[in-house]
This record gives sequence, C-alpha cells and structure tokens, in this order.
Amino acid sequence: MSAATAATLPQQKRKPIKVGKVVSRALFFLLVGIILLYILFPFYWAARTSFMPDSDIYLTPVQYWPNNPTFQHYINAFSETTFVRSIANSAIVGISATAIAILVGASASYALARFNFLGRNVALYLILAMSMFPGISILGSLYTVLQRFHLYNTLYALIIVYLTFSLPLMVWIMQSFFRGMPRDLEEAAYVDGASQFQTFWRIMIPLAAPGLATVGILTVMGCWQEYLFALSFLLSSNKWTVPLAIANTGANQASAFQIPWGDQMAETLVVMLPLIAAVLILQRRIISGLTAGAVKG
Amino acid sequence: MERDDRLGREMTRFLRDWSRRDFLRRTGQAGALLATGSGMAAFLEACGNGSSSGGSASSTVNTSGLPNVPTVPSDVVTAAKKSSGKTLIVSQDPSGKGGQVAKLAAAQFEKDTGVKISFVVAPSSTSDLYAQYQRVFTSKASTPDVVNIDVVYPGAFGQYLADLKSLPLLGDLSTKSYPSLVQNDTVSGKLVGIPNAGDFGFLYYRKDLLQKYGFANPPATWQELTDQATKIQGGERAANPNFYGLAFQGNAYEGLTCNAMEWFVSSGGGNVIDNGKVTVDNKQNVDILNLAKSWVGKISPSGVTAFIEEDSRNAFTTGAVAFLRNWPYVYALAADPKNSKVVGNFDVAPLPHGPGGESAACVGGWQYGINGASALKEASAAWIAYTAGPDFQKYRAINTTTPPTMDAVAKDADVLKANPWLSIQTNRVVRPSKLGTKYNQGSTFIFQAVNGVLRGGDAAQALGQLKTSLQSLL
Amino acid sequence: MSSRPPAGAAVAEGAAVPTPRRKVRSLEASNARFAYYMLAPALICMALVAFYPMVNTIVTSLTDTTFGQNTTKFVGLDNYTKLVQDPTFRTSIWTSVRFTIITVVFEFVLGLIVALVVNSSFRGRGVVRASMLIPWALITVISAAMWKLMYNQIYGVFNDILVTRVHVLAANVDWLGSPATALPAVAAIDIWKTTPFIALLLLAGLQLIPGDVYEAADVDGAGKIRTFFSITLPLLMPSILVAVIIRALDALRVFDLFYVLFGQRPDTTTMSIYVQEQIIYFGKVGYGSAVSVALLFIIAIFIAIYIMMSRWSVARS
Repeated sequence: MSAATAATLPQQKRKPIKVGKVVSRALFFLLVGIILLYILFPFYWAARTSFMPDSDIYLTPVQYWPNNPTFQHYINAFSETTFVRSIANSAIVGISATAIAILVGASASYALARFNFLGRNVALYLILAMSMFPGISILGSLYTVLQRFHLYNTLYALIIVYLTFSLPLMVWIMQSFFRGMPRDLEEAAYVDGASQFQTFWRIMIPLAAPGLATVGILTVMGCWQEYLFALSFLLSSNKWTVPLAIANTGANQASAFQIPWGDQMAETLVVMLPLIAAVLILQRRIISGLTAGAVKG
Repeated sequence: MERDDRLGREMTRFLRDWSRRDFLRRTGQAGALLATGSGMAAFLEACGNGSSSGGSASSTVNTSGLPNVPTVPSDVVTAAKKSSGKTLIVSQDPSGKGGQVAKLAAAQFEKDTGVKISFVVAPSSTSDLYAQYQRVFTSKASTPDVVNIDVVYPGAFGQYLADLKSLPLLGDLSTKSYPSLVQNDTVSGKLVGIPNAGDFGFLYYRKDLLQKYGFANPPATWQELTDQATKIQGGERAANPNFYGLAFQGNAYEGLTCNAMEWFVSSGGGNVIDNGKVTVDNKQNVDILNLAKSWVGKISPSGVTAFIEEDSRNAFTTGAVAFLRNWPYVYALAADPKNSKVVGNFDVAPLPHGPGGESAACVGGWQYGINGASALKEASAAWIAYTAGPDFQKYRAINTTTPPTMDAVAKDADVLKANPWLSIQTNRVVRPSKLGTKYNQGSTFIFQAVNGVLRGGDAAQALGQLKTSLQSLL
Repeated sequence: MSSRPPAGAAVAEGAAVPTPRRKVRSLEASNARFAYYMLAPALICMALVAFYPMVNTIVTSLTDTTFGQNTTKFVGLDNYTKLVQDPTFRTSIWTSVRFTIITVVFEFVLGLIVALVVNSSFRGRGVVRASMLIPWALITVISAAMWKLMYNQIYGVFNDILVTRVHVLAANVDWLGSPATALPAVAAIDIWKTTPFIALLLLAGLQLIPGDVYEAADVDGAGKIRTFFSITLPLLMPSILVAVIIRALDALRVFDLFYVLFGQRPDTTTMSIYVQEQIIYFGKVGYGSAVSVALLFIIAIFIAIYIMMSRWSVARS
C-alpha cells in the first residue's frame, strides 16, 4: 500500500493503463470520502445542535446551519459546577485506572507469556474468561462487595472496577506482544546479571511501550464513557463522572420530561476535544516509536 | 525464525533510541502521575465528605429568580426543633425549577428549625430511580431518610417504608389529600406515602383549527375525536404534508400503560384488575383498542408507536398535530413563545370517553416516604409536612406548575390562574400499583400487549394473552 | 504480534548452556515464584471484582431470590428449566446474535480500510487519522440519544435528506420505531462508534509488519491486491483475530445502547436487556441470575468457535 516503493521500481513495472489507474484511485477517494462522512456527520450534527436553541431542534424544515445561533449552551455548561467537577472526577478515575491497569496487566502478561508454572493455563483462561461477564449480571453482587468494603459512593470503587475489567483486553494484547518478542534481549540481560524483575522493568516494558500505549488509549477512552457502573455505584452528584453529569444535566429546563439537548451537546463537545488532542499526541508517540525501525509510515 | 530476527533488530534499534535514562525519567513521570492521581482522588474524597454531598443549603440568599418560599409553619417547627443540628438526607431530583425550589426550601427549613438538609441525587429516569431505591432498601441502608416515590411504587417499596400515620403531623396531612391517592399509598393498612405532586392526563387541542373546520366543541367521545382529527388533517395536509390529527404516547413503556388505562376505563372496560380479578379481556376494551389501532398511520404518524412524552409534545408545540394527549407540564411550554408555535391557539379539555363510559384521566405523580431504617423519622416527618403541606403546594403550583394533590389548593384562585387546566373535571384512574413488587412486570405485560396491537396485532388475542399473563401474577 | 504456537506451549528458561540438575530446578522454582508475584495483583483484583460476584450470581441462580421477598430458598435447576421454555429469552438470543454478526462484519471491514489508509502514504491520511477517534470520544449514552434525534420520523435529518432533499425514499421512515429497520439502525450507531477501536488495533498490527516484506513483494512483481491478500492479511491475522473476538464479545453483551434507545421494547430486547429486565426491573433476582449464567454459556460457545477458527488459521499459515 505504499507509493514510496514505486519510486524504487525498475522502469518496466510502470506499465498500467492510465485510465484504469485513475478510475481506481477515484473510487478509492470516493470510498474514503464516504467513510469520512459517516464518521464526521454526527459530530457536525452535535456541534450544530449545541449552537442552536432547543426549541429549534424539532422544527421542520431541518436547519443544517442554525438560524438563531447562540452560545448560551456553552455558558450553561461551564456554569454548571456538577459538570465541571465531573471532568476532574473522570480524569482522575480514567488516569488512575489506566495507569494501574497497565502495571498490573503488563506484569501479569509477562508472567503468562514468558514463564511456565503450575496453573499458568488456568490463570490465562480465567483472565480471558472475565471478558465474558456481562456487566449487568454482576451488578448486584458487585454492589454488595463494594458496600462491605465501604467503597460505595467513592471514586475508588470505579477505579478498581474499571481497572479489573480492562485487564482481559490488556492481557490479550500484551501477552501475544511479549511472546512475539525474541528472547535474545532477556537472555543477554540474564547473562549480565539482571534479576527477573529488572529485566522486566528495564527492558521488556520499554520494548512493549507501543502496545502499552495503544491499550492505554483504549482503556482511558473506555473509562471515560462507562455509564452503567458509574450510575450504580455513585450516589452524590459531586462524585459523578462525565457521562452521569451530562445525562443528568438539567438545571435549566422546566420539567423532568424535557431533555436539554443543547446543553448536553455542548458539554459532550467540551469534554471530547481535549480528549482527542491528548490521544493524538500519544498516538504520534506510538507511530514514531515504531518508525525507528524500517516500517513505512 | 527470520522474521523474529528482523523484529528483534528493529526492537533493539528502537530501544537504543529510547535510552535507559529516558525511560527512567518516563517511569518517574508515570509514577508521579499515578501518585498525583491517587492523591487527588483521596483529596477529593476528603473534600466531598467534609462538605455535604450535592446541593446542601449553605446560604439563605435567594438568587434563583423565584419568589421566596413560604416560612415553615409553627407546628412543624415545634416538631422539628427536637432534631435541631442533625442532618437529614433527602433524595431529590436536582434538575429544573423543582431542584431550585428544593434548595430554597432546604435553606428556609434550616433557618427556621435548625435541621440541616442534604440532598442525594435521584436520577431523572424512573427506572433508574427504582433501581437505586432497590439497592438502598435491600442493603438496609439508613439513608436517604426521605425518599420520593413514583405513584406506582408504594406497593413495591411498602415493606421498607415507615408507617406515616404514627408520626406527628402526617396523619392529619393525609386527610387533606385526594382520597384515591391516599388509598394508593396505603399498603397493608400502613400509610407509606404522602402525595406531593399529582399529574393527570387530559386533551390538548388547537382551538383555532376547530374553529376553522366548524367544530363548536372539543370531542366528547373517541369516535368524535377520530372524525374531527380526520377532517382537520385532510384540510391541513395541503399546507403541511407532515400534519397529523392526533399524537399520544404509544411507545412500549410505562406511559403507554397510562394511555391504555384511560382508553379502557373511559370505554367502560374496567381497571384491568378489579377487586383482585383480571377483567381486561372484554368487548369494550377490544373495541377501543381496534379504534386506537386504526389511528396509527392514518391520523397519527406511524412513529407514534415509539413516541414518549416529549415526542408527542414537540409534535403539538411545533404545530404539526391537532390533538394531543399528555400531562399538565405541556401547558406552560405550549404557552411560552420560546418553545411553542401555537401560543394562544390551544386549549385543554377532559379526555374523550367511549359509549357507555365517562372521561378518565390516569394519575401520575410523586409521594414522599420515610426510609424504615432511618434514624431521623420525626425530623423527616417535619420536612415532609413542610414541603408537602398546603402552603408549599400552593407555592409550587404557582411557580413551577406542579399539580397539587389537595383539593383546597387546586381550587385556590391564584393557583387556578397560573394553571387553568386544573379546572378540568374528570374521573381519576390509578394504575394497578397494588401488584406491589410485581407492578413492573404487570405493567410490562400491559404495555407490550397494547403496543403489539398498535403495531397491527389482533386486539382480542392480545387481550386474551394479557389476561393469562396477569393472572399468573396474582 | 506474530503468530506463535497457541497457548499451552512454553519454553524452558535459560537453557542455552547445560547446567546441573539442582541449579536448573531452583532456577525454575525462582522463575515460578517470580511469575506468581507478577500475577498476584491481577488475580486479587479479579477475584474480588469479577469472580466473587460471578460465583455469587451462579449461586443465586439456584435460588428463588426476589426483590421484596424476605426469605429465599434453594430451588435447584428450576430456573433453568423455566429458562429453556422461555420464548422471550430465545428471541433475545437471536436479536443479540444478529446484532453481533452485523456489527462485527461491518466494523471489521471499515476498520481495516481506515487502518490501511492511515498506514499508507495516501494523501488524505492525516485527516482520516485525526477524525477516526471522534466517534469514540463522543460519550455513548449522549451520542446514542443524538442519533435518536437524527433518526426521528418527523424532524430527523436522515429523513430530511433522503426524502425531502435527495428524493431517494418516498415517505419518511420511522427508522428506530419500525421493527424491520430498528436493528440495522442501531447497528449503524454501534459501527460508527466502534470502527475507530478496531482501526486502532489493526493499525498497531499493520505497523508491526516490517517494510522489507513489502519491498520484497514489489521486487517479485506482485500487484497491490495480491500483496494485500497473500502478505498483509496473513501477517495481520493475529491482530484481526484479537480485534474480532473482543468486538464480538462486547456486541453480545451490549447494554447501554439498547437501554437508552429502546428500553423494554420486545422486538429489540437483547440478552443483557433481558437480564436487566428480570433482575432489576422485575426484581426476579434468582431467575435473572439464571439468564446471566445462560448468557455466559452462550458467550463461551462463541469463544469455543473462535479458538477452533484461530487454531485452523494458524495451522494453515
């Protein structure tokens, strides 16, 4: 899929029919265009909705560009303390859960990938089995467990729950990552006198950094959006995470039946943009790390 | 393997680029981040526990734009003063004007009695709230002290709630409320709820369109409604191809149970469960369901089978529909130029009835209850006596259009001026909340059966199956 | 992420130079100890948060626990007998499976295309890379509600475009309301939301394929399509298998999306919604727990199929 190699091809390879090539390129552009439209249109719609008064949303003909644009929803979003506080809560929960999950998951994956010990297969299958549990099924029992440890209505509850449920994904990916690595480095380290832990910490983790970064991104995104557990385990509004705060936005509408679309869209967008920026920066790190080799970028 | 070697070489090169020192710095950063994160979590926890959770009243300055709340009556003050200094935990939906009023009330209550009020959030979705209360009661938590229960749930939660008649002031208060609501809130002889909001369903109609097409009065029977809607729709379609005659809530959810009960009772088909027996399977119900089925796709959009309250309300306030069945909350929205294109062109009337029946309105709304495990029952009773008392109900009725649950308040001149729809005289119908913890199941059977008919199913068959299902619950 | 022999094969440590038996054994013991320590945190978390609750659920499924009922008794396999005869449960399985198949297939295809585009030197790839994360960063419950607005029969934008502007359809369609279009409509939302996740996983896998492999293929005269099918795809297979199974498991357990859009509607009840309905909404905790265990069992069947398929694909390569 790389055009860079075309330049190194001998002359006789460049014999394709011009028309065919143009048509196929055009079709390809069209396909990518359609996919981009699919991906971006709802985002545009959310943005549009956040800039127009709620009552205009239900009018026909549909307004593709707001007839009465307004910033009021963004003002409302920032003046709602529950929402602003929830961003901090979500950030704490997401970062803590992901950081701990990476440590715990990488350790477990390394152990499962490189060592042979009694119960290894059982442990592997148990971890993977966890990805089969439907959240809704263990909700009641999990609530009881958290109550017993006095963790109900605390952010710690969410951190522990999120980190545990991101372990299967972490282990799935990291253990095949570790297994695919050559053993020369580890053997060299042992010969140099490094302990198993030092080998793990100083050699394997840096090598696995791209994989860890990928899984880290996936985990953070997941924590940011999770709704069911957050709804069930948090009672006070000052502990709410972002999905709860947005779903329960409503200082400004008159009745409980109404949904403040504009405010919700504004809040969703406010939360989304820094998140994407952070991920894009991290993503560049993955790609730059891997292009230190000879893989085409 | 050759591939592994190449991979190894790449990895080694990568490792050299990202040196050990660099990595240690990064681990240091990561560790610091982790420590900060946990530290912040701990800090926020401490903060959160220090102050009260959610919106506790710390100032008595009213910045909400609403008028001041009534002061606490003296008999309530006397009862509450014994618990002065303690904090009462109240479950409250913080959204909208209702939430703001609650905060003002809490500030006033603390000022007059010394009892502090701390709110915990009640999710706005009724089923989420049901789940939350389930968790609270099965874990025998002693807080929240005061809970707010939907009108269909006293039976489900009855055994976990305190008997309000034995508490000061509340027995007296209950005699002032509508008897049907008090009966609904009495479970096994125990009074478990004090009504504080009493929605009921009625008909909104476009009086300008009725005039235009020569109808002097809003329809009195369902058949008249069908005829009027058909004629108006036929005429209006020329200007607006998406104009429909009637909107209601036809989605497979609790709201459809309300609509269905209104249809059944007003057609003389009974209350689904009468005197402990299932009576839903009868000819009047079959007829009214067939009529409703005929509306879908003709005078109601085919999407009405997925409409909830706001969908139908939007259809009416954007002028796309001539008749609407909905709750009182629509009135204020329809009269507000910011939210409505039909300001000044609509009016309200009791719902139509079938041949041999009377107009019926399904009751919605909320009741205050006290957690049976609460340690502050008397203070809770005082809070309820204040916020569900006649003065406060009048305040709420005028400023937040919350329907009162006391006849005296509903007939007050100021209240009527703010809520003209309160003058609608109609028979109030309560859903079968006596099913208790099985209510959700029963209601699900009902709304799934009716929704199936609206989507084209056979009415007689659906009602027959409904009877069997409901009987299995009794 | 190269394809190695499947789980179960392990190589003995540090066996380059022959060492005395005692030393080898103590080395193995120390390695095993190290592995246990490394594994311990994960196992502790899992035991508390996942396994104890799940075992609890299984035990509850053998009782008649009901909300509001103060006594519970052991009823053995009663709940399971009732479950087997439950038509709503059977329908919910079929709804979940259909949803899973539609979403996984489309997410895989679209995710692969996006990953290929971002990995290549295609000119618009920066735009695609930046925009690819957007659906995933928009919070699920809110974006689901917004899609509901877009699907609305009267003022929804899809009907506006298809009927009023472009005249592809004759009349406004109730996308979410009508049973024929409800599942595809919901699937479209899930595909929109999760394609970035798949694309990210596949992209990581693509970037592990060394460039020399492509160079070799070009020198050998392979066209783009042939390169793709005979080289890229097989090398990507491990990542594909991981991505597909993870998505399939998530899709089988989908809850948030259906809860927000449909609630208790019978024709769109998935297995998780049925569990919620029984355990929470109806308060039939015992029966609902049996449904949960059945859900687990069905997922286990899917995993078994996956393991067979992955063994087959590894054996082929």
